[in-house]
Amino acid sequence: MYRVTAFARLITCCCVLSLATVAQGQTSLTVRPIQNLSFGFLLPGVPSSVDAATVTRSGQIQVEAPLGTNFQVRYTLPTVMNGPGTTMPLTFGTTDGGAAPTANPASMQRFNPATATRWQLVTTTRATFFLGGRAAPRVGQPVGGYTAPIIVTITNLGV
Amino acid sequence: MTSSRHLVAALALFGAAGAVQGQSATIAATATVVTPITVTGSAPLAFGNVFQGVNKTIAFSDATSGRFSLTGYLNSQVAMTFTLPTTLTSGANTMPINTYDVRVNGTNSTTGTTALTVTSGTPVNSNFVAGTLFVFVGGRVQPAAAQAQGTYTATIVLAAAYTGL
Repeated sequence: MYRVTAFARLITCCCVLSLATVAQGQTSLTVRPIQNLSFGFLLPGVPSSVDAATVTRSGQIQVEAPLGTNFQVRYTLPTVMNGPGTTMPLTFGTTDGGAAPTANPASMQRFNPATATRWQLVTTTRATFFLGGRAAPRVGQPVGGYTAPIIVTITNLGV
Repeated sequence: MTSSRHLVAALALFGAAGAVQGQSATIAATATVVTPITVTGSAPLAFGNVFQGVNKTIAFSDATSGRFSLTGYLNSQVAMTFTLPTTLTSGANTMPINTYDVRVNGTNSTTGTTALTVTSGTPVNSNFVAGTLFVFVGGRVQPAAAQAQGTYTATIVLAAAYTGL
């Protein structure tokens, strides 16, 4: 009975050690919304694109975590913006996502925001994610403000 | 009994360690659909008859001042770019035109206008507070002492675009 108990305790200790290791790898991670994806003024029937590298208009979030942290980025992308009693189509291209170690998109690496992407903080403890897109107001699109939520989910994969 | 309790506890802890948590942030996609700007030249800046060697000024509020009317999206900012000629021409002859006096108003009235500091080719901002703007243009011509007789004309151009604000 003692031996069984001791074995069980040993397993418990191993598992707790394992937990400790994983917990150490699961570093803290902070996600901050920085800026909306802003198309500005649009005319009915005239599509408009915002490039991810357009600092003043692209959607931006910032992720902060210790060096070496791996994480997964997943966007929940809307297909329309909601406006005054109607919607306006919204699309995203395969290079509309971008990630850079600073808030400057000049060095960003592009990716497809429609698919989950894995990143690692290699040179800095922060990364900025940029998002572009394309809005296509119809001919006769009612005037007014349109908006849609873009949800960015970051999953911490540890160091 | 003791061993199984530890084992269950250990497995539970192990299971908890294996879970990864996601954090999320929400931003928005935003746009404002607006009506196209319209610009209409409503009246020419007409100096009428002028005399050789006598300058003539038309005030912005005079009945023969130049006028533009604009329509745009309510409360939006508009950049107006004027092309202001420096001479009027009549065939090969020219007559200087300068000292423009440009005013803007939300209503079609010369009362309560706002003066615009206008440089030809440089945008100046105003606002479609009520969805309309009215521009009044005064100016001065300087006929030379030996100015040739004739009808002199030039074109004043107003281009307008939303600033996005």
